Amino acid sequence: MGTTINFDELRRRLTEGSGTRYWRGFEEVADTPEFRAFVEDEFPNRTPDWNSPSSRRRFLTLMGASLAFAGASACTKQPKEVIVPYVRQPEEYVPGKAMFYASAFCRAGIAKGVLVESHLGRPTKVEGNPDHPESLGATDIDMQASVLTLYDPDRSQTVTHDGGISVWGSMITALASAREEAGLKKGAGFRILSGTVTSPTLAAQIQEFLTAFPEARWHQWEPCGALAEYRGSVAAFGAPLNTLYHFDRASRIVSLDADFLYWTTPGSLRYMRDYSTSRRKAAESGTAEAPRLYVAESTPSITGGMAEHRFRMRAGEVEAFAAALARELKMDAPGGAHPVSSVAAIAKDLDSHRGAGMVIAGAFQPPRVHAIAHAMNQVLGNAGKTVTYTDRVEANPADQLASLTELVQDMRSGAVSALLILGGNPVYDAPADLGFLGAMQKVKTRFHAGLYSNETAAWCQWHVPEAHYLESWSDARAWDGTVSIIQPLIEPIYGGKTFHDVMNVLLNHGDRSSHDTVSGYWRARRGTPDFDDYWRISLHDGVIAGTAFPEKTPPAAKIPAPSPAPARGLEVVFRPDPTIGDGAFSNNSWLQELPKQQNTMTWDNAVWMSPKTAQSLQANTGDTVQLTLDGRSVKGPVWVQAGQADDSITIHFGYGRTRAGRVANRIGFNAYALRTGSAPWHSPGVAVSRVSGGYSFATRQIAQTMEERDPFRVATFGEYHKDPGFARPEEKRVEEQTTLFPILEYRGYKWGMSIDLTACTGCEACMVACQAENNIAIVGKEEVAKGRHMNWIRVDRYFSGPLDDPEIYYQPVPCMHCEYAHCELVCPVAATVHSAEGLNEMVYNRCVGTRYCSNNCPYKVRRFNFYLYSDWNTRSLYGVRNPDVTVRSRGVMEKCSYCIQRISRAKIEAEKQDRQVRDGEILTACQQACPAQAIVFGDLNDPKSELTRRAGQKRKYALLEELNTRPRTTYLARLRNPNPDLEKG
Amino acid sequence: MYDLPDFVYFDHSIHVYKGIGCSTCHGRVDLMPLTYKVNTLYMQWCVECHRNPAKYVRPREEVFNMTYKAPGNQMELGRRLMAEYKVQSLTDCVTCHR
Repeated sequence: MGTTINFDELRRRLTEGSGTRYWRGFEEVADTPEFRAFVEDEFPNRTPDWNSPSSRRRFLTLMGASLAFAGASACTKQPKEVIVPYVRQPEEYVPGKAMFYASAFCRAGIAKGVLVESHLGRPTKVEGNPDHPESLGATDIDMQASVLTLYDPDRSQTVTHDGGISVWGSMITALASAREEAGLKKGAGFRILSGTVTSPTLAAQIQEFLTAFPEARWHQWEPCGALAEYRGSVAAFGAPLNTLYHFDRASRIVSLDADFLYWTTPGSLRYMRDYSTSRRKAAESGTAEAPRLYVAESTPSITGGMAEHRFRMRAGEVEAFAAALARELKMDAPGGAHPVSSVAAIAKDLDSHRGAGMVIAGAFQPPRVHAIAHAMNQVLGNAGKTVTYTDRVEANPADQLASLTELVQDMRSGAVSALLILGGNPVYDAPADLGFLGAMQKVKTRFHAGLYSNETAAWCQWHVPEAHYLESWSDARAWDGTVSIIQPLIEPIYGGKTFHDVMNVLLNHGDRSSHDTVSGYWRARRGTPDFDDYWRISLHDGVIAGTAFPEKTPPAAKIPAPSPAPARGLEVVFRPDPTIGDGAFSNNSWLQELPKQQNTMTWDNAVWMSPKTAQSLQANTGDTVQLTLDGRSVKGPVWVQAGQADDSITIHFGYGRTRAGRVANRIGFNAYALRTGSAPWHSPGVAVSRVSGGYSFATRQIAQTMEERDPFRVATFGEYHKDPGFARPEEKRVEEQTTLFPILEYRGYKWGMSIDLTACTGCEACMVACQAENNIAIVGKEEVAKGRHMNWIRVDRYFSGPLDDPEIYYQPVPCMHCEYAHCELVCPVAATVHSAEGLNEMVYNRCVGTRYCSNNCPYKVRRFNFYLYSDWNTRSLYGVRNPDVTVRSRGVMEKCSYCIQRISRAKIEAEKQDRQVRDGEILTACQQACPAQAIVFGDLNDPKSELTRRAGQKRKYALLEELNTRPRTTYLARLRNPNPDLEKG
Repeated sequence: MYDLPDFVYFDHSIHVYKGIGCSTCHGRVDLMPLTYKVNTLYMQWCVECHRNPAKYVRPREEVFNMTYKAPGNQMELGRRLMAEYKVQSLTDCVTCHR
């Protein structure tokens, strides 16, 4: 983004309405040369590949690698493969047929139920478990990407001692002698540090150890855990409680900086399902009222994108806003200034929907905001209806910051002689003011178990690779308490050990396997002779029936005294990264290349600031600035973000890693370096100084521009009821049979897809699901910057409205499978052709790489392998590939196939039973993953199919319908339910 | 055992169900001391049958019969079996390539 942008000029253009109604980035409004380049050439910057010495070198390296792989011959020959039949065929295995096993993925200790697809003992894909109360069959980006971590060649592969290779047996000896030493003093000096533990078995093991060694201690630290929620509950109720939200029952929702649709929020999959379903149902029924969402936040989030009314404010002002809302509801909650003028209208709206409203406090807001939210929900009669309470799901709920602080103090005073770190990376992610590393170095013996030999492992004498969850036996609780058994899909690839194994060593049960530990725990709990059946059923279902926590009624919530009003001036806001999260899975290239929802940035974090803040700091996108807070400083590049609150600077965790692996090392900057325990989520008083300019980001926001005037169509419910056909205005409509071509009739199946933009939240789970299902390669930052990313389904993000405070919309765009496909007409070798069922087929083995098809595609959904992007050299990555989809080579075009492998599988099964494919039998990968159920695939010739029903709605429209491509993928316009009393505040 | 190129996807079960015999593609495996490839496996060879399955379809109960020989009225039998087994002539690229 080399061109300097004049924000005042852009504001003028947008307010005068001379610019486009929907815009993707400042470059588009400004119509910069960079933007024009992407409009005029789908893949600009092509020539430098040949001229720049660095690109030529890279090209030759890549060429060299692929040539070496292909052998000495000039043309690519299929490598020799050995086919080994089973000597003894395992029961139920049919080569070529996938098996699915239920298990659970854990993020920050909280389980999300999954079904894992396995091809001959090789897990390749994670799907949601329909029987799991959170997942209900859906997945998030983290769950989808977890299968790549399993095969990550940078995972820790061996036990290490003092940096050298060692063996598990030696570590057992070391652990045992540390235990014996501590045992002389009843365990004094022995400390365990874990993340959040919900596993009943692991907790029982640790408790057993603590019972035997009563002076030993167990500490917990999760860098982006539920600290504020825990403290808020203690402040309000005097006891830690778990809050569950029931979006299916809520028609008025106020989010106090709560990004409840975001994947790091426990329960987010269920929340998205419930919330989007009620929006969708309202749009479909025409009578039911859609939920109305008010969001107060500093940093644009996907939840903010869904809001009817989004209030930009500094993160430190949310508390004052919450208090003002409470006062409006006649509650006693003093508070300071905040920028929202329409509090009375929001309060009135909540008040008139008693029992059907909801106030939800953000995980990154201080405890008092949580307490105010709890109190408001009680006053409004929402508690017990839309908001319920249970015991906390952690096995040992604790104030984790206090827990970690205590550990650090004890380490510093020399009271700790042995430290066992079960997972996590405190050297990287502990609050900067604690001085964790310095204190830890005073501990005599330090053990670390983890997936990666990370920053913390580097400072521990002993490190053992942790088994990935797809290699482990364990158990864990979901956000509502439901227990899932985690079962392995594969033997540990790198000889990893589970935490149960490590604890078994400490418990002197070194010979007890993880499986026996977990099943033994549940056998003892069950205590009946039918345990084997119970165990098998629980394993099969992926959940243990009846383990969700019962509802609790808390006492009346108390609102603590207000914290001092935040100082004026700039504040810095810390957040987990939109795609990388807290940094535990930084080395996952699928997540690195996934565009951040708000600005489509890949492979980087940045210093986000609003246009106004940037103007006052005289900074622009790409300038490197130094942020200084309490004497600590980091340097990072600026990104000017529309929708960001003024005077509020957001930086994200998860970057600046030094020992993450090849993918994530030395990219971005470490935001943890500024974060202190006293201000874990935002802090005023940050100083910003410009260091230099010229940093370039790899974003996708202006690539693949369709130049459509209204790609996204939105109306309020009122407007929709008045004019149901608003999404297909006259000038865009094309009559059914307007064509010079012969009219083709599709008599068999007629596949199509409908995407409901009222339900879609822009979470991008579809993108990662597609990547996993279809063996989509990653290309790296340089190539993304040239518009060469490979995702078959992209999520376009549009801004609409004023420059500083726009509305944000998301639109997933897969291949449209046009009936009159422009791409097919120009292919000289018939490598893209039409099937009898109306699919636009891409035939890799015919493609010669002219890219004419892509030039001619008005939707810009075709992707070209400029280089050999698929990694053919890393053996471990062979495992993750879906054997039902070709791994593409250099010089080949590719694009969304509507998951043809799944269509084929379903059709073959149906044929073998002499029947038609049933509606819902084929789920495309994006559809299956979608937590919002926005995507539906099916047969347009089946009058009873869900697709026919959905696509029959009046708000249906097609992208670029006026071009008469007759796309099979159609959209349902977004409907909003704004408050008529409310002027935008 | 045949090794198809990696961009070709083949499902045995549906061929067996629709009345394509083992020996049609694999030859007389029962008479092979060492197995060998009896057909080219060129796409032309696949498509020849996909375009006109009647030439090769046999009764389901004969699928595993190594000694089965097409009767004189194969075309007539094939057309009847095609109707009975709902055999389709699938020549879309994505039938095999994806």
